[in-house]
Amino acid sequence: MADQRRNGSPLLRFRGKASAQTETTLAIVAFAGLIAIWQLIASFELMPARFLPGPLAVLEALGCMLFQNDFLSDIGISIARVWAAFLLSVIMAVPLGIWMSSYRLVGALTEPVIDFIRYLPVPALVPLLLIWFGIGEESKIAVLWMGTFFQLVLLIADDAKRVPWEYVEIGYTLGAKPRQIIRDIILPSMGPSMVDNLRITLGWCWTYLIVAEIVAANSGIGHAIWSMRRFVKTPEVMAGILTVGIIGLATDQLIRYAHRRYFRYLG
Amino acid sequence: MTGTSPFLRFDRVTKTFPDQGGGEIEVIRDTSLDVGEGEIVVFLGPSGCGKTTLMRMAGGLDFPSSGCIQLHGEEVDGPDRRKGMVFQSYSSFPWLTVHENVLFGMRYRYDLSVDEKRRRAEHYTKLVGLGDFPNFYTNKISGGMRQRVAIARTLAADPEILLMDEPFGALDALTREFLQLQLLDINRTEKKTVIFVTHDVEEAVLLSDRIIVFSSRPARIIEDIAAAESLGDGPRSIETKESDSFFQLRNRILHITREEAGRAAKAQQS
Repeated sequence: MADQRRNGSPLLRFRGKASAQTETTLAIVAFAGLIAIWQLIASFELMPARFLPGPLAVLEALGCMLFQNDFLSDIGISIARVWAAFLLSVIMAVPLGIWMSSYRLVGALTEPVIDFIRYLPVPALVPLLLIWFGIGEESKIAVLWMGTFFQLVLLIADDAKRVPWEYVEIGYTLGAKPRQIIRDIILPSMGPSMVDNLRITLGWCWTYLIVAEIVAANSGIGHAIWSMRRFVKTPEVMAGILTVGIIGLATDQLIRYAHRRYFRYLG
Repeated sequence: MTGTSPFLRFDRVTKTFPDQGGGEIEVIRDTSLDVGEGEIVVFLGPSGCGKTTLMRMAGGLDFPSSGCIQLHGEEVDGPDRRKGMVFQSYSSFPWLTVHENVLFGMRYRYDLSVDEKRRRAEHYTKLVGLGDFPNFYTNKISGGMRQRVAIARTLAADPEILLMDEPFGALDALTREFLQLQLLDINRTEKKTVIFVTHDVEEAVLLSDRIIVFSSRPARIIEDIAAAESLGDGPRSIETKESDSFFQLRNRILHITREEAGRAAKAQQS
């Protein structure tokens, strides 16, 4: 790699910076490369088309699914499930996480229990959750909630703990009460890292959603992928997977954009 | 409660902290001190001697292990708006602009109208020389400007006493001197009681009405110097730093602190 000389490209400089435009161009190049490799493998039939259909075949399958089958409503249902469970996790994890970091009584009581539950593999809990909640929407929400809440609450507690103690003391010496310190100092101070953690957690929601929908559902993207597999409709299976990726990428970019807009002082 | 009791009184204050070995470490030993209203008192001592802890206890951010601290004859039992603090670092909120930071100083003052708050914020922002930068986020301005934001914010809250913990400690020499003179200037109109913690002898001499020299840990008062008497009552300026009385006082204090450092080193060896 290039060294720190003036003439070296900033792209190759150790911890160098690039413009937003360059970043976008490189992202497009990476995706184009990936698709090109995929197309090459398909064109030269390095893998049989039954196992690896080309990009066009997958795109065509996606088009068919969107306009002929019920795939659009599957997508809607999956998004609704993800957001319902995610919001439930957030509404519970943010107050509890801040509370855990604010009072040792709460922290010491909850941290060991949460750490224990956090290590239980969520797929192993699916059968139990099905017994408890049946095969309705409750069980899917429960799977997603189990997979995200216990992780998120610890991340939030960490974010809150990282707010410099001096900020809290400034609040006190300006006459703030703990409740006001949390609202006016801790929340704005931890805001950027909290939103990053929420964004990452939302990604996990999609993983657990597909697990839940494959095991027990008759709707949703996961269910669609699983039923296509039964007829070895590989292009449709891949189109389903691709859909999850595209929704994830779009949501991620949207949150990043909101992050930049809302926390402008970081720019 | 005025007249009979002093403005701020430290009465036989001792402070110990638990150490890692399960024992205790004494940082302040049996220290008594009266601070008069409107006085600028500098706590001078080696790093880690406990002078900051003593000042923090006056702000209600720490509590004595024995003895007590009284403001207007009333025991200090927690932090509040009467005791304003300026820290060395993390002093202003990066998610707020200069103006919003200064406004934040009055956030919990329900006696002021929105208009009054804005007017006062503008006043104090100008007073610390940041009138041209109200809309800058504080992570986009220099360290010296950030400290001025912190001072303006604390003044806007209108505390009775200003507690400053090495507020200029992280700044370069020129900025530091500039802010020292500005602080003297500001206090000419504000007339606050100030406790200023530093380990810089020249800073102590320039700013103080009175210098309290502390020993190494555990902190005890080894000298209580009326700097105002040595330097005269006139306004301090850059010329003060070049006067004979400034040098004499500086040298006298350096002598005291060197002797104390030598004593502490010897005590550690034995």
